[in-house]
Amino acid sequence: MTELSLRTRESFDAVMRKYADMVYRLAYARTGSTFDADDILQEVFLRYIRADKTYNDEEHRKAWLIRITVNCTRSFASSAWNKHRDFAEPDENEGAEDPALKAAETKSDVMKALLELPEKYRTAIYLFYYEDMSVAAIAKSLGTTETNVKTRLSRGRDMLKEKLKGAEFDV
Amino acid sequence: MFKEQLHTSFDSIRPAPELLDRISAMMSEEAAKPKKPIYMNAVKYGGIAAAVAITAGAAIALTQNGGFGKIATENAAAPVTTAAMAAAETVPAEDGDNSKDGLGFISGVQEMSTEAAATTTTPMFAPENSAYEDIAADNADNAYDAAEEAYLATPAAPETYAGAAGEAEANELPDIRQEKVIQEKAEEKAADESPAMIMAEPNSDAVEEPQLEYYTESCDSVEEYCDDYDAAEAEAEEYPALPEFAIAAGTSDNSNPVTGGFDTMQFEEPFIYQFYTIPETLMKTVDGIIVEETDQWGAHYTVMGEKWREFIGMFAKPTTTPDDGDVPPASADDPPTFRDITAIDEDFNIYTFIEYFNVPDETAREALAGYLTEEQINILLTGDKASVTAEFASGYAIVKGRKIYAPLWLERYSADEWKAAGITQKDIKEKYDMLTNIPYLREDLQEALTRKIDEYLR
Repeated sequence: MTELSLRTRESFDAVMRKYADMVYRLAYARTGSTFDADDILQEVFLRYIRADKTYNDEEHRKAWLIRITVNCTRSFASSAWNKHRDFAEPDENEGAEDPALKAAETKSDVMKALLELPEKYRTAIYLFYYEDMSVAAIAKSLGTTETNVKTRLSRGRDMLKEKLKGAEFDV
Repeated sequence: MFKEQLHTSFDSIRPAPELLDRISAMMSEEAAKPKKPIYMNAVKYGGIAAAVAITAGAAIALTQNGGFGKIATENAAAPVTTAAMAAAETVPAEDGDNSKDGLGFISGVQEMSTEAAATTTTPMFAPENSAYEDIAADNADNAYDAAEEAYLATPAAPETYAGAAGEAEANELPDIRQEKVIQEKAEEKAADESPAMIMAEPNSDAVEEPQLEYYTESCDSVEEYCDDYDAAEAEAEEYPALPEFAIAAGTSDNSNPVTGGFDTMQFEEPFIYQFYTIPETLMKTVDGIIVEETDQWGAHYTVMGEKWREFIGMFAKPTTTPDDGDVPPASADDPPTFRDITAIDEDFNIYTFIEYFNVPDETAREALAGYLTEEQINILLTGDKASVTAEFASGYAIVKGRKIYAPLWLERYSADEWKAAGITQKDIKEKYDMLTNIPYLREDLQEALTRKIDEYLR
C-alpha cells in the first residue's frame, strides 16, 4: 500500500479502509455486538475526520483510533438505554439476525470466553493477543499505566483459564 | 493456541463493505465542511466566557435526553439557561486547535445544539429517528452561522434537574442538588403558560432514566476496584513519588445531562452552573449591555456592549494546556483547560456581575427571582464571600472559607499544595465518595485522582 499521508484530510478514505477492521473488531470485542460495532465504527471515523489532526507516525494514528474507539464504546455503554443491557453477554436478539455473530459464536469457544470477560480485561487481552500490541502501546492507547495493563492482562488470563478449563487453550 | 483461535474467530468479524462505503461518503461530506472557526465552550475555555439564563417565556431548551444526544423541547414557561460568551478576538492555531491559544480565542460557547448535532447525526444514538438528524443538522448550521459574534449554549433547564430530583425522591435517593424549589417554580409557571412547541419527540424506545450522579459511574465492580487497587499499589512501589497526572486532552467525551451538557463540569468547575450563568434578566438591568436573540428558535443569544466586554475581560486568564505530545486525545472537541479559579471574585458569575455593575439589591432580587431560590438570593446579596462560596459550591468542590477547590485543582496540584491550601484529610474524607466517582470523568483521570487522594489519606 502506498504510504498514507499523516494529515487527516489527505488520506481519510484510505485510512478508514486500512483501520476499519481494527476499529470494528475492537468495538465488537468491547460491546459483543456487531450492530453496536457498526455504529461505533461510524462514530470513530467521524471523530477522526472532525479532529483533523496531523499524526507523528502511523503508530500515533493507530493509538489515537484505538483510544477513540475505547471512548466511543464507553460512551455507548454508559448511555441510558444501554445501561439496561449486559455488555458481557451478546444481545439475545442479534444472534438470529446477525450471521457474522452467529458464525463466530458457533466457531469459537475462545471468543465466547473473551466476550464474557469484564470489559477492561477483554480490551487488554484483545489488543495484546489479536492486535499484537505491546504493553506500553496498550497503556498509551488506553490512557493508563503499563502496570495497570499488566494487571489486566494477568487477571484476564486467569479468568480465561478458568473459563476455558478442559479445552486445549494455552493462554 | 489461544492466540491462533482468537485470530481465527475475530478474522470473520469485519464491517460490511456497504457500511464502509457509507462511512466514506459521510467522511467526504464532513471533510467538505468548513473547519470550526473557534472553540466555543463558555465554561471550559479561555476564561472570558459568561453565561446568560433566559427566563423569558417561550424560550426553547435544548437538552440532551437521557444521554441519547437528542433534542427535546422544554416547557415554554420554564426558565431556560443559556450560556453566552462575549466577543473576543482570536487567531486560530495552525492546526486549528484554538484551545491552545489561552487568551487569544474568540468568545463563544459550545452550544447544546452543536453537541446534539454531533451525536444525533450518527445512528449510534438515534438510529431510528431521522427527524433528529434533520433537526440536529439545522442546529449545527445555526451554530456555525452564529459563530462570528458569539455563541450561546443552553445547558439543561432547571426542570431537568428537578426531574432528576423527583426521581431521586421516588427512589429514596438523596437529592444532592436540591432543585425541588426550582421544580416547583417551573411547574407553577408552566401551569400558566401554553405548552412548548415541539421540536423533536424523544425517542419512544428510549428508556427514561434520571441522570443523577449516582447513576452515571456505576459500572465499577468490587472486582474492578480490587484490580485498580492492586495496580495502584504496584505502581506506588514502582514510583514512590506520586506522579503528577497530565491531562492529555479532554476529560470526557460523553455528555452530562445533569450539568446541562458541560460534560465534566463537576470535575473542572468549583461552582454550580447557576452561579456562573448570568441570567438575561440580570444582564438587562445594566445599560449598555445588549442581549439579542440571534436565531429563530430563541435558543441563541448574543451579548454585546463595551461594558460587557470590560467585565468579562477582567477574568481573562491563560489556561493551562499541557502539550499532549503523542498521547491521543479523548475527544477532539474537548480540549483541556485549567483556569485555576479558587475564589468567587476570580471569575465571572452572578456575584461579580452584581458587584462590578453595582446592581442595586432590589433590582438584583427582582432579576433573579425564579432563577435562584429566595434563600440563595438572600445569601448572594449579603456580599459575604464565604457564605456565597459555600452556597454555590459544587458538591464536588472543597470549600475552605473564601477559597474553593474543584477536583481538577486537586488533580493539578501536589499533596503539599493541598496542605498549604489548608485542605485536611478530613476535608478529603468527607468528599471521598464523590471525588472518586465523578460523573462522566474519563477513567484514567478518575484513576489518577483516586490514587492521589488515597495517597493523601494514608
